[in-house]
Amino acid sequence: MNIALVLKVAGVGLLVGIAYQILQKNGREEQATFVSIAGVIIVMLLLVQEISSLFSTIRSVFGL
Amino acid sequence: MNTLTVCAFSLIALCVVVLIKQIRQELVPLTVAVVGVVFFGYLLLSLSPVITFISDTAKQSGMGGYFSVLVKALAIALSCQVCAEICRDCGESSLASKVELAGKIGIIILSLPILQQLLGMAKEMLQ
Repeated sequence: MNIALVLKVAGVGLLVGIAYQILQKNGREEQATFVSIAGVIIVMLLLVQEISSLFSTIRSVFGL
Repeated sequence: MNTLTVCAFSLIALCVVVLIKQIRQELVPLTVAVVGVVFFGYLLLSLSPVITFISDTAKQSGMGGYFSVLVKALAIALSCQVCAEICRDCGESSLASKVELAGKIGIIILSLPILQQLLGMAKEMLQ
């Protein structure tokens, strides 16, 4: 079971949260928003890879 | 399949989801989806010996054709259920019900040839 992926998502969330707070406190609202969007995109890329591996697993297990 | 691994994984995933929920709200749906997909992949891999055993038994008894339809229906049902659960976890229950409807339609379309065979057999017997 790929627990590293979940922990990776947690790490990305933590880093993005910290960066967002710091940028917001310094009055850089735009960059904070960009950092937040970048975090979402990184996690989405991880998710897409995992979904493709899940589909190949489904095909191999059920012989579709 | 190790039950303790599953329990530990679900607990760690729960901690991660709760942590993310407090830090960044917009990452929660993606985290839930990642956890669901990883979990489902692991469960499928542990299900594969059961499927191969049943398919071997069905082939030996000469029911291989019907069994493949059954396995395909099982695959559709499982994938649609997991997808709908992920949608429901993220608060989109209307999307979830549409996914479930798509799964039902897929299974009905898959089982139409068998239903046709059954009706043909009944017709022949009546004549």
